[in-house]
Amino acid sequence: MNAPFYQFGLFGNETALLFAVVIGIGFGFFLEQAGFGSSVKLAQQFYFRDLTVFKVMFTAIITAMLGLFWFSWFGLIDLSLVGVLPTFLIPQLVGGLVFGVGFVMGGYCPGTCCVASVTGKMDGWIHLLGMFAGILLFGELFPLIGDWCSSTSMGEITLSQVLHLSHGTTVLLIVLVALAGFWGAENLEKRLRTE
Amino acid sequence: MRYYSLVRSVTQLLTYLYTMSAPKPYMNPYLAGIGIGLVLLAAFVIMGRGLGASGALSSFLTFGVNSVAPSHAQSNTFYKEYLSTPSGNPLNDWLVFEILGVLIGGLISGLISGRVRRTVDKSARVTITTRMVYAFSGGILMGFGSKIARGCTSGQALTGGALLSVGSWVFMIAVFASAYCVAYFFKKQWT
Amino acid sequence: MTLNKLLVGIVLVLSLLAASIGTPQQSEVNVPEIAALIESEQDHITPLELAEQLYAGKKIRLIDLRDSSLHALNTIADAENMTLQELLNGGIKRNEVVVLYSEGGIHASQAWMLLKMKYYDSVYTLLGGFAGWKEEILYPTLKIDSTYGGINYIRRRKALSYFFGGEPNILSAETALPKTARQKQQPPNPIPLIKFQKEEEKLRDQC
Repeated sequence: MNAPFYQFGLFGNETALLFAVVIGIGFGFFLEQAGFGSSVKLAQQFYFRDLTVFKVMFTAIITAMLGLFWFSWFGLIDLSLVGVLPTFLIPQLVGGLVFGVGFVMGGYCPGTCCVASVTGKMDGWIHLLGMFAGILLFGELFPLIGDWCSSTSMGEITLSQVLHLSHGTTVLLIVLVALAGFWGAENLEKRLRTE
Repeated sequence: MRYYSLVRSVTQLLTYLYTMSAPKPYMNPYLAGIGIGLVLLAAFVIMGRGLGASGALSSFLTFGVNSVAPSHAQSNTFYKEYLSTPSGNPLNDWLVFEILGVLIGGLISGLISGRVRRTVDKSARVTITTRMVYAFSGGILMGFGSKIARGCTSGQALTGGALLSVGSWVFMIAVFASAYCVAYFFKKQWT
Repeated sequence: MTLNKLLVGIVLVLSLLAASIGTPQQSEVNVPEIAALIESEQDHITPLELAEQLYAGKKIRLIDLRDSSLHALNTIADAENMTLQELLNGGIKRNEVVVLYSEGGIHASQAWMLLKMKYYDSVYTLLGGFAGWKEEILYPTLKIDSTYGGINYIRRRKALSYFFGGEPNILSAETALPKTARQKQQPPNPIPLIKFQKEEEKLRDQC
């Protein structure tokens, strides 16, 4: 097994940056194709009118999740080299709450903001400036809140560890939740369209 | 000199795409989701890491702060982290190059779908000024929140979600929850 | 609609199978493959081979798994000192050519085994460990042998010994080498005459 290729030393840092651009192109392409270059479309999610955000995000998550599982099972990737993101429970919770407000207010997330800006949305540029201001604010306040932001560290725990289920069962669980959500989303949109 | 005609034809092509084509319908959301999922999977297989966006913005900001006030940047632990790339230049970072790709990919998609247009996206019920104020303030909250949570929807929700990280799922649920809760107050802006 | 139904079907099948499998990690270590490497002696390098390669300027990453105090006293060339934990936690890249050594070789062999279980490709142990290095390279006991091959051989060993900061122990010619050893150092076997005869016949036929 040789994947993740970079971790097996199959190419160097310069090539890694080249891959970064290529991967980014794919990401930006599909974000815009889904319509996420438009804040109005993104925000409709939170009025239950257009649930594309939910559909795209969860489809992406279960695609990658299933991909990782099966690639690993076929010995094509060494999952121990793919770092699970560390959990800092309270900061991520609070950060998520703040982020959510910003999402509805501004109508973008960092990735979609870039896509929107590049396709001409002036509100995207302003939102981008706002994000820089927010990060600057964080940087300046960091000496005060930095320690709190590393509190409640739980390490690299996964849902399957917390739920005491196997990796595969957790995958199934999330897929079922996602499919139920898609079914509900389709019905909801259909009902709102006929009204 | 011979590049002049090439540049001219490219500019003509871009102008045509920009002004002439009507916007095409969006891609099937599930297909777009599969597309993003495969891109994310490719990142895992090739690099052993996922996607991200807020990290790149932090790199840009650190670059700016370092250019204006280098001593301040280097004495601050937060900026120091982004300055400690192998070459010392915060822009020499995987996420920075990835976000350049995002810009290119978004532009390509916009061009071929006829969705590149200088506009302000909002409902008819608010003025441009109002929209801009909300966009800026929303951006501040989003930037701040993404740093507390160590990521954004790409880095935490998509990447961490696929990896089943507990904190990432908590983040994602928190984002949706709070967004739904305050959506009422911004309804005029969007509908 | 049918496309979506197809996708739903595929996803459900994949996830149901995943749930039944449970864990996707490859826990089955490829034991026969590792055993084959050991038997074919591709798991180690002798001190003489290592010395020759380092002398020729080859870049090999050397990892010293001994205690840091021993490492500070004396070590091979520019070897790095690592604990087992450091080695296993990303101390080396997966396809880097690395030679591990410990005092006698047991620790290094254990580390080699653990790394092999984690799919590290190009790791080798030093046969005999640092003790073997001292005996064969740094402080070799060389008996003077007046055959042509013997003189060159001793010259080589002396050069290597001094190169790595050692001191060879040269024994005088009175303690001559046993006959069998001298025979071993003769020039390689002459090319069999039969082959030449066949070549001559071919050439004669072509004329």
